[in-house]
Amino acid sequence: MRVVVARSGGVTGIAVRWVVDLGEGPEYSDWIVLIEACPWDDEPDDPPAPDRFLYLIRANGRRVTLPEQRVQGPWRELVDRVRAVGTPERGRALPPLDDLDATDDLDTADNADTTDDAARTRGDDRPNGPRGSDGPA
Amino acid sequence: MRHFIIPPYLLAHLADSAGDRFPRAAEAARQALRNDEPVRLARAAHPRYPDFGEGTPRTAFAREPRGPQRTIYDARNAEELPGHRVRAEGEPEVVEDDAANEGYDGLGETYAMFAEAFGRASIDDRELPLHATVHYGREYDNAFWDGERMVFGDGDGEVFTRFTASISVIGHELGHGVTQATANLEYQGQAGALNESLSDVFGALVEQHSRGQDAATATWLIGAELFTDAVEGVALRSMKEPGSAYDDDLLGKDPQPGHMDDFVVTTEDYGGVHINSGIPNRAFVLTATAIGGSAWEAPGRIWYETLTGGSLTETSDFETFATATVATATRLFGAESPERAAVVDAWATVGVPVTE
Repeated sequence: MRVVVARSGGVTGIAVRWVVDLGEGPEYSDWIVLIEACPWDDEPDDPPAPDRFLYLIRANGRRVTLPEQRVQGPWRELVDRVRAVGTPERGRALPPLDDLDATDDLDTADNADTTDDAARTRGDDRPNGPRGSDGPA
Repeated sequence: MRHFIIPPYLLAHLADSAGDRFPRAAEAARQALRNDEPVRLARAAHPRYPDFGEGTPRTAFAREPRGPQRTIYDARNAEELPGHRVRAEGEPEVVEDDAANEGYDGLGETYAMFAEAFGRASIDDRELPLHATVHYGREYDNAFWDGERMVFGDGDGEVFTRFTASISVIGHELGHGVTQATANLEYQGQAGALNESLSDVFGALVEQHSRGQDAATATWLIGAELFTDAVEGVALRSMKEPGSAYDDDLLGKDPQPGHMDDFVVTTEDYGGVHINSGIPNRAFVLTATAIGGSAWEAPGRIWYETLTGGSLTETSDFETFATATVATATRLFGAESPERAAVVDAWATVGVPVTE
């Protein structure tokens, strides 16, 4: 199972993404508890605030968009843990988030990582897809 | 009515800070301020927005800004606002706290630019006190305007240094306050990119005004002081050449476009407000360099009066804004003026159509 925390915005405008691929290690169940403790269905509808970070979080087939002011409680625990384990990847050369869909499905035996590592950050073999479609809005 | 060569906010500054070296000047400034009190109170009853008249010189402001009322707070690396008060207006520097002192000075420079160039009395044009919090969070790579105050992180130390180090970023954050108090452009899509661009314009003008730089010699960089030596880049953004600010192994390449052909569609960053701002940013630089001289004069005034003039809505897009700047230039300088021609040419160069 893959956990993604994508942070955009801020006055720098430089996006940062942390990706963690979970295997069947001893910490796996801890991650599931952490993920399931988050209120995924309570997506806030706050008006955007200038220069605040915008977080997109995906795990176990779910996704949510949160302004940084809402990254509290279990969200903060999850984000802090992903940031602690994952290696930050910055900039717009990152693959579009939708390209991560294939491995972001509900955890099953088919796509569960079989390594013994509880958490393995993504290596350099990540796909380098094109950036988001360009052109006048 | 009394008129001073030295504007009241500078008198206030002298009264506060000249005491040690120039005690007589400080007392004279205090005296002048006392004498002017009834007049300034009477002026406060004037309309909220100054009437510049048609092309009148900037000495004709209906009201003179009185001076900043700054307070700096220290969050002590927590994320609770406002934090602990460390320095208020006229108080001495905070010992061994560069962030607090840079914040104080930057708020003063920003107040001075808006006051001297546009006759604006603080963020709301009604002398709103300026509050800033420094040392927000741990290794926090950001600065923001939260609707009431500016907030600055210390940076992570690897990619970013402390965010108060950049006067253009301080001006940028206060610029968000000015936009909120006027057109209140929503922070999403093209209106959001305009909101961002106006903050970059004001941030650059604050820096140029404080350094006495004209449009030709200015760097037009935003946040030139923020990267550590480890980063291959000159700034967060280049208003003059969007997309050229950095190209680094860790950060990737500056994604800003400088033309509508390269407008970026994305769901991140509220529709890429920090990316597509490159297009109107470049239009402002083209206008300012074509007109020449100090950018906070004719070019800044066209942009500022477009923002504050009441013709924009919260959802105005690039085309609406561009059209409004041409109308402002026509009103201020005339239909055949070089200023208006510069604005028209600038928007054409970046591919934003103007409706006439």
